Amino acid sequence: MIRGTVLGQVWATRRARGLDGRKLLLVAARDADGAATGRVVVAIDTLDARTGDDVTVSFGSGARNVLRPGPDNRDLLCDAAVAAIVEGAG
Amino acid sequence: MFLGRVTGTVWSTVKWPEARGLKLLLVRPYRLGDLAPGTTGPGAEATGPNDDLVVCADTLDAGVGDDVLVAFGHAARVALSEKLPPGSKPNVPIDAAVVAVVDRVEIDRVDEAGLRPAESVAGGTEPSQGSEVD
Amino acid sequence: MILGRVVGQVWATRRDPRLSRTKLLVVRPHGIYEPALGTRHLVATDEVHAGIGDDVVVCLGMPARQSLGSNDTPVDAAILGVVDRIDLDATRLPVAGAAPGIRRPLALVGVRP
Repeated sequence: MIRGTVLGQVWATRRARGLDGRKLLLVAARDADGAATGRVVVAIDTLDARTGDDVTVSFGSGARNVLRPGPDNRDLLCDAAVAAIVEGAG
Repeated sequence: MFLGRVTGTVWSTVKWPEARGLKLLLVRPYRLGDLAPGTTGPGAEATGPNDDLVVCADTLDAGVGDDVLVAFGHAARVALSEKLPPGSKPNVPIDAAVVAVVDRVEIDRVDEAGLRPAESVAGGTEPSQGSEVD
Repeated sequence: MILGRVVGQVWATRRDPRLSRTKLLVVRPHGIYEPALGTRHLVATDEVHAGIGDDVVVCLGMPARQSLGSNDTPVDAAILGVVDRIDLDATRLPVAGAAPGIRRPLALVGVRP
């Protein structure tokens, strides 16, 4: 998983069926020192994260598990999902 | 998924039968510097026009100039499966597919140091200012 | 997927049986994609009969693995197709050395200005 900051939301009417109803958040990736890496990713949000929130983003099968855990989730159209909203870090 | 702009088309004879008629687009991912021009930290440079071009399968008839979302890996194959008869499992080696055509991106003001929305002006909360990517 | 140019072939009779007889080609990726360990080249399976000098589209990761028919193949890169032509936004034609990150400009076949 990576850490990042929610920059905002992505709106799209034309989308694949598997993305219907999904909230899509734009997240700026940050490294261990908190510095922006310059890369951004769009992740599905099920935790109601807000702009400015510190989050962790999961990829791949981990991301699918956020949406629906278990072995039968391979039909989910999801490669990145917000896994946690961070309150503090050392 | 990543956010990107369609900058071109790749014409290629693809020999997997389930990929017949598949369109391949050249997409340039957006970086932080493209989306938040106010950030000037070390990670915020915008990309040059031909860095980082990704070839993506097009399932939504996106055109050059469109902003799109691209899904990677297994999710790309799930997106492709939507175009095939139910139950078919494509073997075609596609690792990136367009999954949405973006209408707009709402980004709050971000300050340079912390990537946090700028403080509200004194006098109470004010509605966040979105900046729109055209 | 990424764009690249076929620069060679790997010959191997002793190989993992799940690779069967598929051709293995050496591809130099275009743009800033960097294969592992600073190698600047990757080896990809080829089922589309690409030749040395061809520009190709290469699929990476798990979907590449499944292109040989099963999830178990020890493959992380597979050629999807040989490029016939690329149409790029005319304002964004690559120029050698013009921007950081361009290491080897791809010679575009039949690009329309």
